[in-house]
Amino acid sequence: MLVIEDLNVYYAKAHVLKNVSLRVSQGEFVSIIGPNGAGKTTLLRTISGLKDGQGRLSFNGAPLPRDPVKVVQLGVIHCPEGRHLFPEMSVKDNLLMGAFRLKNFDPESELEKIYQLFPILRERERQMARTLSGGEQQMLAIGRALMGRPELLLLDEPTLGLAPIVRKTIAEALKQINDSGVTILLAEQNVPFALAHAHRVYLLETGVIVKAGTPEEFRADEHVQQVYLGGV
Amino acid sequence: MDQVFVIVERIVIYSVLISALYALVALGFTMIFGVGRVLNLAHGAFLMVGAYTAWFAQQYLHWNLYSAFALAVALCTLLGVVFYQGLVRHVQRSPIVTLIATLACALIIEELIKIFFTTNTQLLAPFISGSIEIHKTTVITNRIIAFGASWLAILLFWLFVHRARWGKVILATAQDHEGAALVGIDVRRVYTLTWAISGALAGIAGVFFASWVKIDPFMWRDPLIISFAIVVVGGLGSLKGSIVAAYLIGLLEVLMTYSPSIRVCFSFRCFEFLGSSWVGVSSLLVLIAILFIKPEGLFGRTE
Repeated sequence: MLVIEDLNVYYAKAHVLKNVSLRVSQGEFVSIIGPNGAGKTTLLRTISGLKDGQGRLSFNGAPLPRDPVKVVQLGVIHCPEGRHLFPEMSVKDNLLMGAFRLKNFDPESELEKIYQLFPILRERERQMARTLSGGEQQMLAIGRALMGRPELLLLDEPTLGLAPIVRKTIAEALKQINDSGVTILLAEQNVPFALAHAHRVYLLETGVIVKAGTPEEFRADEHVQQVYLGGV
Repeated sequence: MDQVFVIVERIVIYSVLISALYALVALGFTMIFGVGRVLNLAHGAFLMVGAYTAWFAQQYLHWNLYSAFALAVALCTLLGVVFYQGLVRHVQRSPIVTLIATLACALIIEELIKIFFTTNTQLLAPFISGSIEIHKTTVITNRIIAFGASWLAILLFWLFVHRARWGKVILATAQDHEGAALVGIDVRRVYTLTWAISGALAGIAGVFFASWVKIDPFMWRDPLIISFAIVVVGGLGSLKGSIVAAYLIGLLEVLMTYSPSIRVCFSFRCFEFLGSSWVGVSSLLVLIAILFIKPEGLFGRTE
């Protein structure tokens, strides 16, 4: 579905991604883990067209356009780090705005799907997005991305700053989303969260993919255990 | 006592009327700032283009004022789009460059008008001439038309932003342009649309400003200063704040104009220097006062 080959990305003179290659197949749940500053966010921003990069990116066999609007049109939807909600709009309007790319859709049934996944959003329907708690905002950000009916959902650090109980809710939601047929590419620092429901995992360190494998292989790996799982 | 009532009545009526015009003058400026975080220092010059267009069509093409008005609005809409696509789009990333570039354009427009139409003050015939009596206050009919048109434009604008699909798209872009891009909104198209609307509003405001005040190559300054003060006082990009600020500034200006009569009326002996020559200062005084008391503006949020 998504194929990236030899991707190089620079910020001014800083070489942020170095010959990154990865692939995500239809229906997969793939996680990219790695420390702060490894280039995870840059990778997702490059896929969604917010950042320019050199290399081959293709989606469903065709080159990926270098314009966020066109990328969204293909069904590649990015739920960004920092959420980027519309703070002065209601929860409902935020969700409806997520369906901007769709020509024909029934707003009520689409909203219903999101409210099934995150019931708290139904209660908050009329509240301004800025009045929500961090966890609720994250759920709204994921809900807004889902409203665009993604084929491939890009998620950037959805657990940043959230309590363990909320992380669990979100992990379960991601599993459900993936089970419903949406392909997921997750960038995440919290390794237990990233490994929980993923089929495959990449480890990105200072712009280089240093390891790829299944969650089981990652849990068994000494380097991953020492550095990312606190030796447990 | 009767005299006091007459003065108060006059101040209330005049400030209510002029403030509506000010709110309209600032509307396009506020929107461009709210959506794209661009301070368009050519906004006053846009009004001036609208005013001169209407005047030219009336004077030389012998059009009636309604057609002249329509031409002015159409031309200003186009000007807004051309201005964004040809200039602002390329410099928007740097607020300083944008400030300098838009100010330079305002001065270029001023110079061009001097070349083609001299520095003479021109008059735009009113929509309806004459005046009417509201209780004991005489009001020029054209100003009531300007008041009504201003409020109509503001209400239509509000309805558009909060009810229409593209209005909501503008709101979303204003609140988070990256979020907007990620749901598939073409942010550049939204900016182009806001510049078109801002231009149209400037055209409308320009014609009414011209028929209320005057037309000359320097007339762009007052509307720009008023817009600037209103946007800062109201809270950057807040529509509600802009209207409140417009009324605050309008009221203060009328109070300045009437300060000699107020002094006589209430037998004050202080502030004897105040008078109509202080009108231009009042918006700036409010601006500076707000920067001290509530820097984020009356309805603003700290960013």
